[in-house]
Amino acid sequence: MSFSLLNKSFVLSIVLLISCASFAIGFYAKKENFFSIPPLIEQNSACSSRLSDNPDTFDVYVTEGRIGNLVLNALCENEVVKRQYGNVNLIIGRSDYDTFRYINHGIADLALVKTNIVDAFAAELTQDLKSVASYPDYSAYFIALKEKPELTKEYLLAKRIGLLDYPSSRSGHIVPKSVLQSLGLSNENTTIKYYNTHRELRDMLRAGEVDIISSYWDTSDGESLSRNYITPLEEGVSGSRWYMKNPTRNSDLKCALHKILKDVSIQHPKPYYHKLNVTDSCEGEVKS
Amino acid sequence: MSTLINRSEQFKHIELTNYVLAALVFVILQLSAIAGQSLSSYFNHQSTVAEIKQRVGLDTPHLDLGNSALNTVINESAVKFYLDKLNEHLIETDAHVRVLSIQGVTSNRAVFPDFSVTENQYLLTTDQDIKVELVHLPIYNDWSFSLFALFVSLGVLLIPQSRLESLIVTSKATEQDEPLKLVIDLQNKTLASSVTDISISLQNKPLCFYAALVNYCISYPDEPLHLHKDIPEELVGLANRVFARLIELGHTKRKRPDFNANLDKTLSEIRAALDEAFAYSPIDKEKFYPPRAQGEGSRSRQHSYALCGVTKEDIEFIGS
Repeated sequence: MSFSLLNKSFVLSIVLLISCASFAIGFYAKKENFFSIPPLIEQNSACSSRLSDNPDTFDVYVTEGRIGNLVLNALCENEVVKRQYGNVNLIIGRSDYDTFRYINHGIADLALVKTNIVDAFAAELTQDLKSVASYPDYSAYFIALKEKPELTKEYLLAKRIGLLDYPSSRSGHIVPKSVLQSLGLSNENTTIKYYNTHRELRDMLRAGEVDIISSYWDTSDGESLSRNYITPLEEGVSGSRWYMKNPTRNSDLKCALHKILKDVSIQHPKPYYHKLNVTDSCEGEVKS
Repeated sequence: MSTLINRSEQFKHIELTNYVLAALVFVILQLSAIAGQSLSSYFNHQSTVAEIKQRVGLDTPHLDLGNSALNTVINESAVKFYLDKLNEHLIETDAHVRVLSIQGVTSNRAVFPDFSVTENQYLLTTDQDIKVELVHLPIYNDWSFSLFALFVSLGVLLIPQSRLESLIVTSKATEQDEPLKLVIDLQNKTLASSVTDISISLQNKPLCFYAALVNYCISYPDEPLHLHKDIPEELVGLANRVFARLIELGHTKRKRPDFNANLDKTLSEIRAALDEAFAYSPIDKEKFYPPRAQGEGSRSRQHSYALCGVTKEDIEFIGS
């Protein structure tokens, strides 16, 4: 009897042991080490290789990726920049919050931003940011698809109006909202729909999601919209400007930037950017 | 010829037993492997989901998700671009989870037909809840054939048949209750129950007489044994034979006892020994117990001390 019990226990133990081994093999065969996911939102880019051993970095802040990359390439090739900095860091902002941080915390050495942002936080005084070049002023319009918009309360009450949801946008937010306020219209008594980009506004207008949008008039808009169906809201809205930190003390760099920005603006596919006005032109100054 | 047929039948039986056992082993081990794979898959899933939640949570400040409280809208193109990048990374790392949407915004490229299980995760911030919709592969996707189970079950087929049968027989035997036996050990001069293994020593004379009585009652189950009569010669002969065996085993050199003398005392010693041996199961001792005379008729002429119902299978002799 003792032998039988011993035998039975032995067999059961072996079965249990082998089952555990099978469990463990199954477990470890499927075990995976999942490594952490790296940051996926790329805001920064730099020159392909360091310019020198100089630890200083020239920080550039823009909100438009295409012009940002053109500027980065030009800066990485420029002799003055190479002499003064070890690298160039391009930051592409994605929101007003980014702009606020990089401008008003004094990070950017060169920035393409709207004047109202710099003025709002007095960055010219606090960060010594000075305008070195600017794009032309433009007008803000109400744009419709099938009729010319009227600037009356009665007309606008029945319309769905598309605006940008960036409070810093002049043509897409500030100007139309001030017009609506002056007519006694607000979010409560009008249908206002918010979108993220000027292109999205145009897409929504064409798709019939909104009746009127507020934006600038681009030369390419004539292909899909009628210039007869736009109503100016405000003329002379100041264009975006290039701001540089301490331009008076570093005239070599300022002059180099004038040349770079002119060259880059001409390369931009949008004709609006071709008309760059530089402040305190370096023409006639001795080349360094 | 019939022997050949029997062998063939036996061979078929052996094959069947082997295959059935191997199949049983395979099923047990494959199930164990599946359990291990499932647990591993669960842990992998949990860690992947945690990584995704952490990544999305960290990227949220840079992702324009909109906020109904602030009357701002989600930047769909930015979120779609982000979703595509995130899923590209998950595909590259062969993760079993994909992100289908964030705050209800999904990308046209976020189509994963094999990822059939949907799971919603929420990132809670101070002013809004961010819903992240995940899809993952069903758990059985990670189940796979276990080579270990296969090799072990093949190994079972190689176990010699004799060994296998002994295991099965032993196993079956141990599954049933073993019948109770009375063990009469002439080598140690003891009586014992096979269940308890408690051994009780007996003197030569009661031991010889009891061993002989058991054998006699097995041989003559219906023959009564009366106290007022002499012990039958067959019984005396059996007792003498047992005594001779004790001499052979070196337990005594004295001349054989007179079994007719003091029969009452002999039976009392036997009963006392049986009482002790079956102290834990008194009911079981009945068929081994020489009946006592009851009440007034204790000296009755009808009283028999013969064992009723004892059989050969009930007794195990050691050293006989």
